Amino acid sequence: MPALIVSLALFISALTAHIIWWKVRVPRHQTRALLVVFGLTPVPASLIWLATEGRPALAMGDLPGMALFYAGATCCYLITYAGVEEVSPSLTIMSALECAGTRGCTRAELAAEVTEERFIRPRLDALKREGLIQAMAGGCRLTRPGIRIARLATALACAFGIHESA
Amino acid sequence: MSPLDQPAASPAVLTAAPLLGLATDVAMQVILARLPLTVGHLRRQFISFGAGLVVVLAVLWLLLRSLPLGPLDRVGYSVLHLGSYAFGGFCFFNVINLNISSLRIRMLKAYLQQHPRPLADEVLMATCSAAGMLDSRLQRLLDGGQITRSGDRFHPRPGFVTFIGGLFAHLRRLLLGR
Repeated sequence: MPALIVSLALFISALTAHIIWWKVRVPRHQTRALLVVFGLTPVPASLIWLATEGRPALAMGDLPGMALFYAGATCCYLITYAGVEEVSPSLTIMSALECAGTRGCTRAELAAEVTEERFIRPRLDALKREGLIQAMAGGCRLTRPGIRIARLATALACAFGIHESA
Repeated sequence: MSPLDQPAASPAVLTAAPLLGLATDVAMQVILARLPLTVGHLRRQFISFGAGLVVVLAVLWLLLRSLPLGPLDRVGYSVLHLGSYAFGGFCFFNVINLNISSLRIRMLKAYLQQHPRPLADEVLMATCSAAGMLDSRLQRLLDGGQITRSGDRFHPRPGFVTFIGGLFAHLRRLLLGR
């Protein structure tokens, strides 16, 4: 039970630190900042645990399970945060339909919400900003990191029989 | 005796449960993708997650039986490792879904097909157009039962996607003030 409680406490501490930081000032590179917060939070806790000789509420054998739990929760939060940071087209559609109430929306009305300026251009700009593509004469080309990610995505699509629909 | 001097405690072996469960989830997904089934991606992922969950429960039951733990500790370790499996399953679910629906991934694949030749923005926009994206998202929402269509109008159906949208809106207000 202590392993579960401490793991939850660590995650909640990281979440609290993240909220406080964001309330003071939203960082420019939000994902990187989240990795710093969640990566550094276990450090002081580990030092305290190492320093408390003779009072091991946690055994060494608890650490792998706790690390897996904390890492898993962190990854889930990062994935969730991506949906908070950028609105997805599907949720934009759902939001527009809910606002319309019983009247509903036509495709043309939804097309006014799902536009190139709102969804396509920002994602293209993000690829350039993240260094996954580089501009050159004639258009853009993948950088080395971009090639790795594209190849990995292609391999995953092949392995899991994924047919993209975007 | 300091914590570092203690022999490696047996609860460490419980970590095998979520790891084996996740391996089962991934393996099942690979197998299901190759079977001539008419189920959609979402159902396939639920089936493979369920298979992994069975493995996690079985391994946890076998291992916890052999450990000298009190009932509270058994509950604590079970929740800890089931939670780890659930987190891993969620991450895997999103890896699959990113490949299905992420526009950025689709753009990267379009660039890879052209590589090393550059791809003009106009050509990319024609492939990954807003109109095409709207149509495919509407179809996916219709197929998943999240929206309905009557005549030329679309209507939402209350459900998980609506709940997620509301949750994200609250988080956006809390964290980003918008």
